Amino acid sequence: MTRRRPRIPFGGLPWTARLVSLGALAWVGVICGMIVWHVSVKVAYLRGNLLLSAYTVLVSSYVISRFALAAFYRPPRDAGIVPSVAIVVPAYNEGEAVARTIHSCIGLEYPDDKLEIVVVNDGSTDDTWEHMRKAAARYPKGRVRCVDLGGNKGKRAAMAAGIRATSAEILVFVDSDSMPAPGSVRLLVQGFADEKVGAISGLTHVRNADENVLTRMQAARYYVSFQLLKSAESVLGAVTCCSGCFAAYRRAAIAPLLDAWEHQRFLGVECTYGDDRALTNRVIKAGWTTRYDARAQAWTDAPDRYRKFFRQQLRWKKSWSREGPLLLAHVWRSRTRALPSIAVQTIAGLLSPLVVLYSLVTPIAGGRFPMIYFLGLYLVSMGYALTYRMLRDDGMWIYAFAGTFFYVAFSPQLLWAIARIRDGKWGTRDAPASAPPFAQRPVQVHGAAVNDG
Amino acid sequence: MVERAEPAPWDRPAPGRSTRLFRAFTGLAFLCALGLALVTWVTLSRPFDPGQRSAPAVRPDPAAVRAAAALPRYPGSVLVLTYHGVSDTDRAGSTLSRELFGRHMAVLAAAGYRTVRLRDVEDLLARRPVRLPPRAMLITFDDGQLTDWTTADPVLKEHGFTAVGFLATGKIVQPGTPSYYLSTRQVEDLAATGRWEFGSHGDGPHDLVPVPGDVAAPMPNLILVDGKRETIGHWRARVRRDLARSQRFFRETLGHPVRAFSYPFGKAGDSGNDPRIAKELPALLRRAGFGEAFVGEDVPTGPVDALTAGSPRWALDRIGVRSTTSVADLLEMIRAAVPMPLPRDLSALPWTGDHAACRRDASDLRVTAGGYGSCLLRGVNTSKWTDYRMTASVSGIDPRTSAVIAVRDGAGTRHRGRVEVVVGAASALVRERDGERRPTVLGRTPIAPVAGARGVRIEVRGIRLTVSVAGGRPLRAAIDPRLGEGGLTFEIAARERHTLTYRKPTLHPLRAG
Repeated sequence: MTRRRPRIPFGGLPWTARLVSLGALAWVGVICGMIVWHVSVKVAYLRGNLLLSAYTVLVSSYVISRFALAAFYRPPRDAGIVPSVAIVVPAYNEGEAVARTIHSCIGLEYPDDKLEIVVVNDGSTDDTWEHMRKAAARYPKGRVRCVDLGGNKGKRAAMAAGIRATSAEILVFVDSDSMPAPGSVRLLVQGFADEKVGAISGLTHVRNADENVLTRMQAARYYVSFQLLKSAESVLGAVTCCSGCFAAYRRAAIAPLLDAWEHQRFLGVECTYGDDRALTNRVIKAGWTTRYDARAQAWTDAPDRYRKFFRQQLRWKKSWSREGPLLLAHVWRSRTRALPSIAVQTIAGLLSPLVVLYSLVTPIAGGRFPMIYFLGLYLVSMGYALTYRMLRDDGMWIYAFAGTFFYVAFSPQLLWAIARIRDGKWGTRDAPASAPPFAQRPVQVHGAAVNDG
Repeated sequence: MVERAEPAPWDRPAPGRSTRLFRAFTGLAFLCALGLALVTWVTLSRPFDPGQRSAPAVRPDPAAVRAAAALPRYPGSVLVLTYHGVSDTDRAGSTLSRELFGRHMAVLAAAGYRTVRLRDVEDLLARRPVRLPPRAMLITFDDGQLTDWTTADPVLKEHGFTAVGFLATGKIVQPGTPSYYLSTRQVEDLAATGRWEFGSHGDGPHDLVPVPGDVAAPMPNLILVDGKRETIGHWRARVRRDLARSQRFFRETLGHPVRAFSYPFGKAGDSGNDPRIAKELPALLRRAGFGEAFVGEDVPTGPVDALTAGSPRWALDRIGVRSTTSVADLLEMIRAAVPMPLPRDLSALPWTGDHAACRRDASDLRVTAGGYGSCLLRGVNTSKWTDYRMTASVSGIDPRTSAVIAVRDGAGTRHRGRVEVVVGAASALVRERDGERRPTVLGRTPIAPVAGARGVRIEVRGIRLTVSVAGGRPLRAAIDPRLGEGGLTFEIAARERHTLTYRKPTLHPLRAG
């Protein structure tokens, strides 16, 4: 079984598969061309509701710019550097699973003397700490470091403690239910050969994709989001969220802002969620470049129940609504060339739920069916689906199509998220048989969800 | 969590494949749907922006051109025509085919008609000095239909004509919107050609609405609101709002308000169901920034006068042209509209007999009838014959035959009266008629017998009439002010077949009194 090579999608494929991929690419081109043409007509003939037109132009240019920028994406060059790396794994009530994570991290292809694993126990009430000690004892001293916070302090505190406990140059964050591919850490750190790079995000797949329709839609969504949105952001040098489940940060970049990050307060409340986005945000603010490496892959579990899924989405939307404006407040000077896309993403993202509701209510209230809106949505969905099909041939492209509608349909959740932004509860804790607070924390990819409309 | 026995994700085999046929089918179905979506997308997004069609090649009929060249001229008058649409596909009664419109324009151009601008019209009405071409005309297009841009403008361009578009501003659409009417961009484009000026045709819905006992144009009528006749205050507010909206459109589109107005349905205030409207509508128009208003959307059913310095500013006549108006019809309407300057030799005019035979003999007019008969002028616009002295001498009067000369004859004008001067063998009288009512005698005088022809002199000056018949004392009378214009007739009232000869009937212009 050869390793998947998403960056060179057509390499080594039989010519029929290559032809199908090229066909999909051509269709993506046609769709983009149609949308560009529509936008230019809109601009040339300013008519109708000016606000809606402006929204259409903004969102369409944003979506098109993602396709265009992603076409220029190249993963960081393999510089052959081997910096010292610490993998920080915060754990809360993981039980035996923490041992599995430790074993899989040890199994990574990386020089033993350069790789260190820091496992932080965030005041677990079960036997997590025992499992950690037992697993660590199986390896030579210094390879696995166990930190006990002594009480439940929250994920940020756990991560900060882990970072302070090590002196490695590069810190790789891996969620306790994430599984990096063996060679992924070696690839992930290559981008740091560039002195200006402060953080790099890897590509995260959904491990339980075959579970049900929901996880399939998420899997397709993750993939398209990473390959389109993160690629595009990487081209501009400002990946806005180096996800908590698999990303690397330069120690020099985060050391000065660790305290502020750990105790971030927003609207008078301590921030409990959105740690990865908040950290990336501060790294960008400090003037560092953030990148995305599509070669470094990890697998994570996505929520397989709608209830859990909606709660996760609510957390992400809260952190997006908080960090989006914060990012906008400094990105104009910290990374000016990313300003237009971030501004449009923020504005359109905030308007999107209103537009969705408006488009659904208008025909019910007796107005005209907003055909253009839904057709546009359809075309964008097809664009994503065809992009997926171009890069991967596993039959999941239909879920990329359906998922776009699905994500847009509940984008009004953002309004609720904004209304409850000060509420720091994870929302999973009180659920029966709930996972640990940061167990269900894959990447934040809803940037696409709120911007499709 | 339990230890999974399954292989690591990166070592997992590719997920189970459905059959090749099924995959091909799904893919094809999605691609077809995508194709359909793209076609719909293009259909919905495509802007509606038709270009201009070239002017149809028409050669004017030489006979029509000759007839047009023979049309009367009246310096200081402006002929105003109303068109609507110009299209080969639209079957509306107001829409001319491109070919017919082309022929109309070609004939008018060949006859020497030149278009003037609204500014010239305003100067003319304000009696400011203005240089008008000898045959001046104003071409207007009501409603603001799309064909102003697509088909009419190229024809105007070909002949070097200008035009005024009276826009029903509420119907003008945003650029790119499919419509029967112009878009704001086309209005701007037309204005940019320099050929087009614009006026308002009202803003609100261009439909007849219920009024007490009828349906009628909303602007000059008190309409039914919730089954009740609106108040004059309500009417005032409604019309003021409509005019303001229309002017706002022009300020937004052209950057300035417009001065000219054309009444929707061509209905001015006097056609309405309340006498106060006739008085107040011009005031409302003036307050909304308008300087003049045109009536006449349709083929005229009554007399139409070309625009002159004395024309009523708030009810300027136009000749409505429709799909059934042939070139000959148009020329006939123009002939009837352009005032005939006061002629000197009346016998040279084309008199037609009504129950009488009219014959010109040198400079005499001979009228023969066996009862009551008249010599009339048909299709001649006599609206400018207001102040003159008519002299003639009549021979052939005997006790059984009287001569009747009518002035201010209402045929072809807006009134139905006339003033008759009856010259018998022994007396002369002046009487006034108004419609079907019995005539009023304004004066009577016995006349002494004279040898040969009896001289008759009639002076008309405004409402003052002076009649001098040889052998009698002069008769002076005041005419009903409603009989303000009209032509002359020469008539005979005989018991048996007889001929009267009006010798040298001549008109002398008088200064207005």
